[in-house]
Amino acid sequence: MIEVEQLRKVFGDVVAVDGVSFTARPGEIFGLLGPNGAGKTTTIGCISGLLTPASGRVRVMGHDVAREGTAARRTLGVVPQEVALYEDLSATENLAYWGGAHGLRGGALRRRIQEALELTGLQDRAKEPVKRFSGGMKRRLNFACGIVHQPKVLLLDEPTVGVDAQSRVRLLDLVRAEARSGVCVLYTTHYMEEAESLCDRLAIIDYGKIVAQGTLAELRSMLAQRDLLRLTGAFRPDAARHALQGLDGIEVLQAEDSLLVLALAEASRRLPAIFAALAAAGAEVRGTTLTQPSLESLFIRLTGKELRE
Amino acid sequence: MRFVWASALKDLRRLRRDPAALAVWIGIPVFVLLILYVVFGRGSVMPQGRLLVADEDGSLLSGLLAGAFGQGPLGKMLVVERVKQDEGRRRMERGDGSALLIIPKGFGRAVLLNQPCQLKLITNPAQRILPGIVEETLSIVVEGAFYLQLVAGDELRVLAGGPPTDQTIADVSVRFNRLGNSLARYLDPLLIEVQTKVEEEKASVRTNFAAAFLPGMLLLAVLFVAQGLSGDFWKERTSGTLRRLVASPQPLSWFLGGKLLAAALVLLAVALAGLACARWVVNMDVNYWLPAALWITFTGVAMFLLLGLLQLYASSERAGNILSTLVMFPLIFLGGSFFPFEAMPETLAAIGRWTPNGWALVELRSMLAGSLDLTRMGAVFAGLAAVCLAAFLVVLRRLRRGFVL
Repeated sequence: MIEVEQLRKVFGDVVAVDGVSFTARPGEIFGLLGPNGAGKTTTIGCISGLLTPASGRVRVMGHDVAREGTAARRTLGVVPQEVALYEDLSATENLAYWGGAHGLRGGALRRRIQEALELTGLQDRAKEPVKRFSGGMKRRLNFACGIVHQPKVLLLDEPTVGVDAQSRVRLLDLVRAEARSGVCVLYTTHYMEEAESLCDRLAIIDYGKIVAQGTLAELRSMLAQRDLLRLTGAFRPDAARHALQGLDGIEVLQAEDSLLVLALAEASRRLPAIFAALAAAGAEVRGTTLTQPSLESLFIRLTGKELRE
Repeated sequence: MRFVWASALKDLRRLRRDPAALAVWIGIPVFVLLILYVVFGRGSVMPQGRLLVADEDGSLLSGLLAGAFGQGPLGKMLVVERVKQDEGRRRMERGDGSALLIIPKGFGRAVLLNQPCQLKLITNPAQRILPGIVEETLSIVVEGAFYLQLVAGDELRVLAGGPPTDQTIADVSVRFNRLGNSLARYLDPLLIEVQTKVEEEKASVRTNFAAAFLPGMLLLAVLFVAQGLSGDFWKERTSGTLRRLVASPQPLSWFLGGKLLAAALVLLAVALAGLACARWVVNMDVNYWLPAALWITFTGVAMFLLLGLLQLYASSERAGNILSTLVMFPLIFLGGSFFPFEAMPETLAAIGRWTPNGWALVELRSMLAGSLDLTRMGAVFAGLAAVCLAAFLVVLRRLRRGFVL
C-alpha cells in the first residue's frame, strides 16, 4: 500500500508537487495521469526515497519513507522512466545484480532470475550483453529488474515510452499480472488509452496538483455523459463565447482564434443550432470533431488543454 | 558486505567486457616508455652537451687543454667545438652550448713560466649538469698545471724561451729523465692501487634506464587507470543505474566500497604486472615487491578517490573528464611520472616531490632500491589511509546529496 499525504516538493522557485494526496491499495493499479512536467516523476522520486519532500508524508507498506527508508525500500520495486541497465552486462547479470541489491541470493536468486526472464520473454537472449538488445527488449529487461525480487509495491514511471506496439502490449499484460498477484502498482503515464485500459483508479495531475481522482467510472461521471465537440476554423473567442451562452447546456472549455472546444449533451443533434449561432457571431467553422465522454475530454475539461506527449 | 563484493564483481565484469579502455590506460605509459627507451635507453643515459672553445693562444698547451675535454668518458658527454670568441658569446646568448671556454693569448707561455693567467668559462644557466662537469674538469686541469710547475717548473721555463735548439731539447730530455727516475720510487710500484671493475655495459644501461623511468611509468599507468575508473561515476549516473540503486535498500557506502574494491584489484594487477616486467623483462633490481605492489595499489586507490571527487563536483561528464585531465597532467609532469626528478631543475623537482604522485614515487623508488623502514612506512600507510578515508566520506556525501539527481 502507498499512502501519500499532502506531498510537496520544490526545486528552487518551481513547485514540482503541490499538496498531492492519494492512496494505492494492494492488488490495485493506481494511475497517475498527466502531461510531461506535471509532477508524476517527482512524486515517484519522493515515494522511492530518491527525493526528499519539502513537506507531507509518504508511507509504503506502513513504513514512513523519511524515517524508515530502508524498510520501505525493501518492499519497493522501481521501473524507472529511462532504461537503467548495465549495457556491458548480460540480462542474467543485470538481474543478478539488482536481485542481490534487494537481498536475494543463492538458489532463490537463480530461480527468480529464470522466472523474470521467462515472464519477459528474454530467456533466449539471457547471456547476451544488453547493448545488443532492441529498445523493446531493454524495456522488458528494465521491467524484469524491477520485479525480480517480488516487491509488494511496484512503481512504474512511464514504462512504455518509446516502446513498439508488441512490446507495449506485453508490458501491460505483465503489469496486470503483477497486480493480480496482489502487488500494489503505481503507474504513471501520459497515454490516455493506457490509463483507461489498465488502471483501476486514477489521479489526474497537472502543474503538481491532483485535479481529480477516482475510478474510471467516477471520473467519467464528472463529465455528466456530455460529448466533447472540437470546432476548427476562424473565431473571435469573446464573440463565440457570447453567442454560445444563448444555447442551453453548452460549456465552452477552450476558445481560441482557430479552435473552439465545447462540452454538451447530444451534440450531434444540436450541431445546426451551434453553427447558426457561431455564423451570427461572424465565425467560420471549417472542421468538426465529436468525441464521446473519455478521460481525454475530462482532462480537457479539468485543465483547459489537451494531453499531449 | 556481500553487496560490496557483488558491486565490485559487477564493475570488474564491465571492465572485462571493455578491454580497450584498460588497454589504453596501460598502453599509453608502455608506449611512452618504449619511446624513451628508443631515445635514451639503447645508447647511454648520459646527457650530451656542446663545449665551445675560443682558443686565442693557439699554442701547444692551449690545444692540449681544449683536447682534454674530448678524452675518455668526457668525450661521450661533450662535443668540443672550436669557435671565435665573438661567435662563441653569440651562441651562448642563444643558449646554443653548455659552456664557452675562452683561452686568452699568452696562456701557454704563462703556464710554462708560472705566471698569472685568466681562463674564462661562461656557462649556460639553463643547464645544470654539463656546465658543472666542465667547471670541475677545468679546475682539475688548473690544479694539475700547478703541481706540474712544482715538480718540473725549471724544465718548463727552459721551453718557454723560444724555439728550442737541439741542445736545449737534449738538455730538457735529460732533465725529464732524471725527474722521472726521482719520481719512480713513488710510481713504480704504485703506492696506491686502484681496482676498477667494469660491469657489462648493456646490462648497466638497461638497469639505469629502468631505474630512472620505470617506477614513474608505473605510477603513470596507475594515474591513467585511476582517472579512467573515476569516470565511471558519470556512467552510472547517465545510465540511470545510480538512481535505481538509491531506490534499493542497499546503502550507497557499500556501492562505493564495491567500486573501491574493484579499483584496488585492477590496480594491484597492474602493479604486479609492472613489477614483474621490471624484474624479469628489464632486469631491474626489485626489492620488497609485495610492499611496493601494495603501495602502488594504495596510492592508486587514493588517486581514484581524489579524481572521483573532481568528477562528482563537475557539472557534466565532459566537464569531469576535462577537469580531472587538467589536474592530472601537471601532476604527471611535475610528479616525476614522465621526467625523472634527476632530470628536472631542482626547484621543480622539489615541488614535484610534494605532489601526491611525486610523494608516492619517492617512496616507491626507495622501496624498490631496498630501503624499507617499517616504522616510517607504517606511518606513511596510516597517513595515506587517513587521506583515503576522508576522500571516501566526501565522495559518499556528494553521491548522497546532489550527484544522483
